Amino acid sequence: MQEVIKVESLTFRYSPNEHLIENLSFSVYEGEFFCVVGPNGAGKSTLLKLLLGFLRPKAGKVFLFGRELGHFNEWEKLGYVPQRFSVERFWTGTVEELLRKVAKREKVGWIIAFLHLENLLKRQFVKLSGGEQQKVLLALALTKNPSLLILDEPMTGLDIHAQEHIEYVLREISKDRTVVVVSHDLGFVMRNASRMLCLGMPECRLVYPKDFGQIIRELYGLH
Amino acid sequence: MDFINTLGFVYEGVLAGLLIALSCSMVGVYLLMRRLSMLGAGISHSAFGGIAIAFLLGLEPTLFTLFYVALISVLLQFLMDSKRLPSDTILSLFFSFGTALAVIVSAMKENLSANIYSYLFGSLLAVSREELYVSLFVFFITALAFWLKYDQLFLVLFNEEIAKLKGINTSFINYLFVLLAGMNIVLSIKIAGLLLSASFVALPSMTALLVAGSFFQTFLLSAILSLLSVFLGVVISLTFNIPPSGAIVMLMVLFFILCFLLYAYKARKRF
Repeated sequence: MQEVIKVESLTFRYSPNEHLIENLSFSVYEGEFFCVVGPNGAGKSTLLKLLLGFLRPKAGKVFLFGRELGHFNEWEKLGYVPQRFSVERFWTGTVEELLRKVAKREKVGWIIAFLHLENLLKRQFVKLSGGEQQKVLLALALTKNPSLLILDEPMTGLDIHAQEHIEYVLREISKDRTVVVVSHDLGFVMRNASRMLCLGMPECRLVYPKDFGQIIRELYGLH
Repeated sequence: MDFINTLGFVYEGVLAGLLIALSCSMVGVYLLMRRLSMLGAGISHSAFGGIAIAFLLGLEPTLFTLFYVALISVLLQFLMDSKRLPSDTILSLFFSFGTALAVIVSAMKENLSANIYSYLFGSLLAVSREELYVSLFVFFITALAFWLKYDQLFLVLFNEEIAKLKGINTSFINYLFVLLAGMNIVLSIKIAGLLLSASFVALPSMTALLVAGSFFQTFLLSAILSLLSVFLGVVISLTFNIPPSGAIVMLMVLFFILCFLLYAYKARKRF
């Protein structure tokens, strides 16, 4: 199986005495539903920023589709869904404007139909509900039909119905692409992940489904 | 008839006012969406220091201040990019530095303070032909930048991380538009005065953000409100013999209040 993401001895810290991400190595393979979990401050979002090149590591390397991050230029292969709350609230654009700026209408027709966005096209993004905004962010990430989709906390702030819908959509999408999700939602992780990476333990661990329960109890101090 | 005759005398100022109002309305939307509404005040007060230096050195104040503020704008964006301090702290620093510099320089030579302090209130009616050409040039490059980079700007303002992954050089876009904002703010000082130039940039865009239904509409509405305010402000100023900067900004405030009431009424009806 092809290595979609390869991380080699990655180290990152915001301040000299901190040990946020220390000598971390792992790979994500084609077709995986890979989840990153860990308590607050464990470095989940930081790891994601390192994978996307928004932060520079102190040491180590990241490879995307076999190319080192510094030389990687096939960004259309990658879709990214940021945390919903990182979108500017004074931004007045509509969903239609947003999709039209990123891709031609005919190319996004299938996404609009698949995510049922028809009735949202004329509405302003900032005035949508949490679930609707998450669907639009997903649509935006899918415009170039990427083979790798990375999501940062896709369930945060959503009600139960919106969570169920987004989970269904992600499951469908993951059938023909690799999905990497940073999530606090342990139920979502246990139901969907083919493997998970646990940050915030004495040693970061890669875990297979049969051990999910035990590791999550250990990680969050549950009994 | 008297009014038309007077308008003939001040057409350079009116034309410069309309051009700068139009480009300020565009950069104003950009600044507000980036939560940099304080940038207008920060840059105009920095420009105050530049104006003072120009008078001290005997240089043409508008041109010198344009170059001075271009440097200040690049430095501002660099500091905001480094994320070591919050944007409003950096802007307050530049605000204080520019004002203090102007106060010190104005005391260094005799008769200097009268020239420098005349920029506090500005006057659209005193715009020279050279200043009109500079306004035309700045308007042209601002409009060109918005026309060529509109789609990229749209995504950068939505979310910089998504924009970066779509291959957009977000850093270039931010430097470019902060630079243009700085240059437009300098020209708005001549028209609205240093004390009111920030309102000249922020008010029409704030009003447009309240009622616009889309990103494009926000720019369009902001431009229409700016042009209307300048045109009607000049008419009121010439008719009632009051300073044009005060009349223009007062109209901008009035438009804001009207649109806010409309917005509140609509919101109430919805619930």
